[in-house]
Order: sequence, then C-alpha cells, then structure tokens
Amino acid sequence: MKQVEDSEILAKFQNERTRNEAFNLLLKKYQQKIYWHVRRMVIDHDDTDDIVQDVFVKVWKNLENFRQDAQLYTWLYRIATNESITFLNNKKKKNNVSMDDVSYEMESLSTGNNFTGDQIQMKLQQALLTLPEKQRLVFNMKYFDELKYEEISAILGTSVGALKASFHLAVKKIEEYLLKHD
Amino acid sequence: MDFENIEDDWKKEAPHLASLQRLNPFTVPENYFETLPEEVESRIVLETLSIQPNWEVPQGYFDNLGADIETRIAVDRLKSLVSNDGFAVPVNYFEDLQLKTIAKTKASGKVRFLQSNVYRYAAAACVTIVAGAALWLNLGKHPSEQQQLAKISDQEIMNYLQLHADATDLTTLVENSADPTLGTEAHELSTEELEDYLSTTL
Repeated sequence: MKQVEDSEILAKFQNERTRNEAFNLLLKKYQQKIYWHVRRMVIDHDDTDDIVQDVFVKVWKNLENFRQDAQLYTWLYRIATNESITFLNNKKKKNNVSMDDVSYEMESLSTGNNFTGDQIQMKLQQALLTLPEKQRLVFNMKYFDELKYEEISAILGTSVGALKASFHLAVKKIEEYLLKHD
Repeated sequence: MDFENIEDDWKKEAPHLASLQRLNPFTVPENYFETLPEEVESRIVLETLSIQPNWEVPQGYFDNLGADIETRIAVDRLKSLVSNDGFAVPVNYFEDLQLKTIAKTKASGKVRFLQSNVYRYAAAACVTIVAGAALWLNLGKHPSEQQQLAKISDQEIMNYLQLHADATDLTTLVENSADPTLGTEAHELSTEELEDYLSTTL
C-alpha cells in the first residue's frame, strides 16, 4: 500500500475541511514509528501510550505552524524525543533519584507483560539502560530504526561527527556488557 | 577507528552485538495501533474543551469542596450500611391508597376544599386585629363628652351656671348628679334658708 506523501498531509491539514482527514493520514503513517521510538526509551507500554498521545496532541496543535524547514518525520521524532526525555526526568525527580538512575526502566523491563524476548535480548536492553540517555537515543535510532546520521542530526540537533562518535562509544560499552554478563 | 566507514566498522569492534538478530522483544496490546487514532482524537477534543476561558466558580467553592466531598462519602457509606429506614409498609399500600381516597370522596358527596382552612382563619384573625386596633386608636384620638367635661374646672362650671342657668336647671342638676346625698341635703335646709335662696335666684 502506497504511503501518502508528507506534502499532501500538510496541504490537507491547512484546509479546515480536510484537516481531520489529514491528521488521520498522519497518524496512520507515523504512529508505529513514533511509538517504538518512545517505547525503546521508556520501556513500559502504558507510559509509552501516554507519551505518544501527548506527542500527537502537540502535533495537532502545532502542525498548522510547521514551517516545513525540516522533514515532517524529523519534526515528529524531535517532539517524541523531547517528550520521552522530559517524562523520564520527571519520573526521576518525583522518585527523588539522580538523572543517571535507571532503576525505574529496569523494573519496567522485568515486570508485567512488557517483554517477551529471550535472555540475550534482555541483556541487550539492560546494557542499553547503562548508557547515558542521549547515547541510548543515538544507538536506538541507528541500530533499530536504521536512520542515517544526517537524519539523526536533524532530530537531535547534534553534528554528524558527534553522533558517529557517540554511536561508537555506545557499541563498545554494549559489547563489554554482553561479554561480562555472558 | 575509521569514522567514515563506521557504518560497518562497528561490527568488527563488537562481534557479539553484530551477531544478534535485530528482533523486537517488546509486546504491544492487541489492536493497540487500530485504536490509537481514536484515543488521540478523544484527547484532542478534551484538550480543546479545557482551553475554554473564564469559567466562573462560586465564591468559596474550593474552600468548602473538601468538606462537601467528605460529607458525600460519609453519606454514601451510611447508605451502604443502612439502605432504608426500616419502616414496613403493607404490600401494595400506595397503589391502593389512591383508589381508597377517591372512593371516600365520592361516597361523602361533599365538595372538599383542597385548600387548607388555615388561610381563612388567618385572614379572619388579621381583620379582627386591624378592626380592634382601629377602634382603639379612634377612642384615643376622640375623647368622650364626659372626658371633655371632666377637664373643665368647677369654678368655670359655676361661672357658666350663674350666667346661663334658670330655676328649672336645679331640678335637672340634682337628678343627674352622681352624689346621692344632694337631694337629701335639700330636706335638711331650714325654711329661712330656702326663703333666702328663693329671693336671690328668682
């Protein structure tokens, strides 16, 4: 099934009569990408659901003013990334733990019906949680979403060179973790 | 580390990681993505409604809200413990009551006022009070002839009688006097005294 072009979505959104239709098209096109991008950061489905809804409500409110100086998906990813980081930071503040503390995410990984992977996949996720947030983001977008460095650069506002270095460091740390916990 | 060829270079640096299948280990509830658009749209509607400005709230509303809620909770709790007042009513009582009442009114043949008599008694009492007050006020405002005469001094009366009275007035005065002894005094007067009186007044 051919996906609708972003330009068509944006054009329809500008027209009040076709605005709802445009938004539905946008949701269908991007909801899964945004969902998994958030899910890999916050782990828990219910938290992800809240954040994803927040993201798309923000999109609805601000899409009219989207200047189209960036790609639509880049803008969506940026909103989703900011919402995820804000959520995690707020959670840590509420629990009175340091920003580096990942006990909440670790707990989400091991409890409930969140995870159905095997042991090695669990180790990978645990290894990812040992990374700083931004590094984890870079790794997720490169490794799982297979985005180009230029696209990640547009989303995070970080230079391509810094992203390459960050990804390299992330890979090294994960490898060490997997070997250590083999 | 060759950053330019990092796309595949990392696999040499991390063979364990490279050997892993890129599978998605996370679960998603069934039909989640089918229902997500509706959820988002509902959220948007709710957010739009919450933007409405200038909702007015009665003064002191939030100050009393806590107590009102606690009272409501207590009442609900009480109702859950005591669901009714415990009074028993015969079966079909209320269904039969209406029929009995209507039957009674038809049997007596009387037309009963639906309004209470209280209003008629109250109206009668008001009229009585007003009439009595009016009467009392009138008495106070217009004194009787006797009250007016009582205000006149004895000397003034004597002066008037000397100027305007004649022989026939004596009899009238004696008859109307409240003093029962006045008539008897006349019988105690001597003949000489009577003659003196007659000579001065005639």
